[in-house]
Amino acid sequence: MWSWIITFFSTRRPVKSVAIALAVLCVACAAYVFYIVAVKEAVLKNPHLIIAKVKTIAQYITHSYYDECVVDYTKDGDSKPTFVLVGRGTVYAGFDLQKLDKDPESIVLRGNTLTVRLPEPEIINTVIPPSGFVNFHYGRISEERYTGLKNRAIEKLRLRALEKDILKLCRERGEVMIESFFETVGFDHVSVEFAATNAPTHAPAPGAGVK
Amino acid sequence: MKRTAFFITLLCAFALWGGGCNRCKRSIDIGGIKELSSLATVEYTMTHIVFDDDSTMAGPRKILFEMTASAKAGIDLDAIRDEDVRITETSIEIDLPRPKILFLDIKPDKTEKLYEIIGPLRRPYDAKQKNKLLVKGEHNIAALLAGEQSGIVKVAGENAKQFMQNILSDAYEQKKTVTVRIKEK
Repeated sequence: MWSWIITFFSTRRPVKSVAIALAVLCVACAAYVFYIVAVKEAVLKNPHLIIAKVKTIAQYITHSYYDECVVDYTKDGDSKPTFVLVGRGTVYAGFDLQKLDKDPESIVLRGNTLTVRLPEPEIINTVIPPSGFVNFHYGRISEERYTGLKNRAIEKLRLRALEKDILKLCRERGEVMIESFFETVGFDHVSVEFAATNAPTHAPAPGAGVK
Repeated sequence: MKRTAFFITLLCAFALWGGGCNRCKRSIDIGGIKELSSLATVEYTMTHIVFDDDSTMAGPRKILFEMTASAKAGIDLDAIRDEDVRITETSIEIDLPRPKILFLDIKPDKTEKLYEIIGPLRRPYDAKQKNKLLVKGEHNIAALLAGEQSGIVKVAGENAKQFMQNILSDAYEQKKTVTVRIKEK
């Protein structure tokens, strides 16, 4: 091997030999740097799921709202945003039927009329999974700011759902569906009313609460 | 020359047609309110560890996240048909549809980076790489949850039975025997 290399260089002019040696060295360095910089696929070994809590709930979900939004972060003094994040997700809305247990008058049979008192509808969950976030433009920002941006996207989606009057739609559908359910299980006359609460049922001003 | 112009026009037409279709598909998904009729009866809170180890001869490059997710499971009330309900003078029997996982929620502020070890010659993980790892974690959680071992579907079914039993007993003021079952298929 070495004798072959010595013969190879001795039969050529010194300048040419040095040039070839430098070229080989450059290629080797480039390959090494590429090896360091190259990002490998994430490998997840032995995935496990630890169940931390199991909670009994009774949430009647009547509507889902799919949307996408854009949030950005601009450093003070900069004209262009440092980070632009797109969030795609779903807002779920409906009724927390566990509140029926707390109200003794929630289901009452008077004569042949069943009266059901539903709680006010509410946003149950706003879900943007990690796969729903797309980093459209990204510079260096801290972990906290990145999480803050994601939370802003979630809040923006929730407010948009409220702007679309999702709670009003829930109220209307909840009334129809609960009536229909109790008629299916044998009641001739069903009346649905709503318990008065302080929960907001109207849409906030556009952009309210979102920086 | 004429033939070339014809092919270019044909290509442009195909490109425009394809683009148009994509836009149509998007417009269906975005901003859509969909009607559901799901009764969520159980909420599981889970933790999952995801990590990436990209250490090489040039030094270590590792990151580890703990993700906390919550999943809700329940039944679809819309799937209850008239034939699933049998009423007599003294009893009522109802067959509920099989429960399913309704959605998985992974809150960004419940995802914690526990370790990030980067050697002096290595490049730190950027936001895109971190999110890619979290997406893998999300897929892992969804796959593990769907597996029978987590039991979420079984608990959701038991809770749905209990809830229906209570609500119908209240409605009938304990005058009828209420039997609630979960359909086999």
